[in-house]
Amino acid sequence: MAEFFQHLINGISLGSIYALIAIGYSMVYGILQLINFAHGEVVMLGAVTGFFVAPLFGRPVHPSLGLFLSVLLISMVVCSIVGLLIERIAYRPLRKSPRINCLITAIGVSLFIQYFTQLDFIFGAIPQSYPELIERQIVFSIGGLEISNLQILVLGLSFSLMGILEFIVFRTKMGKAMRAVSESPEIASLLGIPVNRVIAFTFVLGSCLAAAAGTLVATMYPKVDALMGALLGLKAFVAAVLGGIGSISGAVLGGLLMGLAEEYTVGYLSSSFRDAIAFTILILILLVRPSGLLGTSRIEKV
Amino acid sequence: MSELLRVENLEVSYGAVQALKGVSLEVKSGEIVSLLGANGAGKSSLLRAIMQSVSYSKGSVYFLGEKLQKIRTDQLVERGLALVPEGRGILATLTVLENLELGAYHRTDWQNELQGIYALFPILKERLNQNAGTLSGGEQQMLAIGRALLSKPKLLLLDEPSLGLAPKIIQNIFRLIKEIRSRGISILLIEQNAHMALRVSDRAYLLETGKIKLSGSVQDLLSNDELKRAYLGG
Ligand SMILES: Nc1ncnc2c1ncn2[C@@H]1O[C@H](COP(=O)(O)OP(=O)(O)OP(=O)(O)O)[C@@H](O)[C@H]1O
Ligand SMILES: [Mg+2]
Repeated sequence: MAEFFQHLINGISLGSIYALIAIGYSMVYGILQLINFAHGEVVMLGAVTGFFVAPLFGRPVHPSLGLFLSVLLISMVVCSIVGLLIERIAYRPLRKSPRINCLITAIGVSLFIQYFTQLDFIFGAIPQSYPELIERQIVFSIGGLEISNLQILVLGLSFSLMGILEFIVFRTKMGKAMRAVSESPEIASLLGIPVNRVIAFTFVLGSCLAAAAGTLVATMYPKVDALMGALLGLKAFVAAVLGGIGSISGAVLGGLLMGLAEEYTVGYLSSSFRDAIAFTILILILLVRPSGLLGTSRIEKV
Repeated sequence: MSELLRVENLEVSYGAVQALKGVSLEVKSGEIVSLLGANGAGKSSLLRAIMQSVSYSKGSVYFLGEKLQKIRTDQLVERGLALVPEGRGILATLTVLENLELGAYHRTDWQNELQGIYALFPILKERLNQNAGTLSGGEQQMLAIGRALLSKPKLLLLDEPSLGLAPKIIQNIFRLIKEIRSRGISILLIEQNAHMALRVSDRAYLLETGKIKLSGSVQDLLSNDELKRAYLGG
């Protein structure tokens, strides 16, 4: 029984990280009908930024919440800038082009960032260990069930960020403009909404969440490598599709389910299925409910 | 009367289809001007081109004496031009209140104008927190007009506001059009309903397959046999 709950806690904390990433896919899809394949790379850059930035606060790195938050903030700024640049340089010029062109560009941007990061004078191809920003402690232990401070951090941070996002999207003028653009860019512009600025803002939001996810992943599993975004991104993308791409609450639900599915598969079946489960889920949704759990039936043809 | 809008020799094409073949018109401040024409004549294309939301290959649009070049639709709204598009353009997944708020997107001092909008459209006040997609057609049209008014336009472009509405609501809409003009807002009105449109208008243009066929004051047009036969039923 304790084991079951342990997997539940582990699955939810992993899932909330997937959810943070999945939200970015979903928001961009909702607003541009574009699958931003470079999003996983933004997550990776979030971790890479922390790798470079943490030692700047003092060597050897002294773990503390303050350090974690400072590193998080800087990663968010860096990732926002990267997100803005991707949108401005790669996607905006293609706004009126066929979908398939944008999709291929997205894959190109993703590969570009992967290989660029692997250059020796940037980060290199060899995985590095991520500095310990927060010391892992067991804060709760009962009958074999253990919860670490890191898990609480992951849950607390993810759900706070989701709360902030919810506030922005539903309560602020910019959020309302985002929903307007996602329903119809043409009507939005007729209301005086600067559509490109709203799209840029969407990329900033998604990139901030990606930076948080990258920092959290690297804090939980302290390893950074230039390719880490690919698999994380892919799983989060599947989570977004599972929840119903375009829907933010769907992305959260999909992320949590993905985390749980992965955790229980590893726990009760075999860890060699860890990554296969994502694709099994993808194939199943595409067969059974292509619009996802909370999605509308607008389906992308790519 | 000073000139608000002037369109000169406008040409719009969609691929091989040329929707406008050199259209010129103008609207002066304080006027209601009707643009009549059959389906496919190019009326909506003209309004979209004025709003700079479709590009035109030739010709120019002047608003408040300035030639519109490299200006985006949203910037034009800020300068005082608003379009209530064909089909109303309601944001169905946003609430009625959110639709109204977004109508005033570029403004900060609009809150106190909401009461005025509710006075014009009492029904909206009862539906504020409902998704706009759940409104009836007539209510959606009210919302679309109210939303456009909140952008504080100098010139309002209305694309078939009476389309698909019951006769009683249509009368209401036309009463509104006069009311809006009395508040100092000029109107360029597209209508299939030529009788009613001419009754509220000062001048009118008749568009036929992308060209202005006739234009003039309402009195002149009402006595034009050709127009009578084609649009006013004899
Ligand atoms: N997006 C588009 N792509 C291709 N052709 C278009 C497009 N929009 C309009 N057209 C064509 O341009 C012509 C003019 O269309 P427009 O919508 O301006 O006419 P309209 O006078 O508004 O007609 P209606 O009274 O039916 O609304 C039509 O032949 C139409 O088929
Ligand atoms: Mg039309």
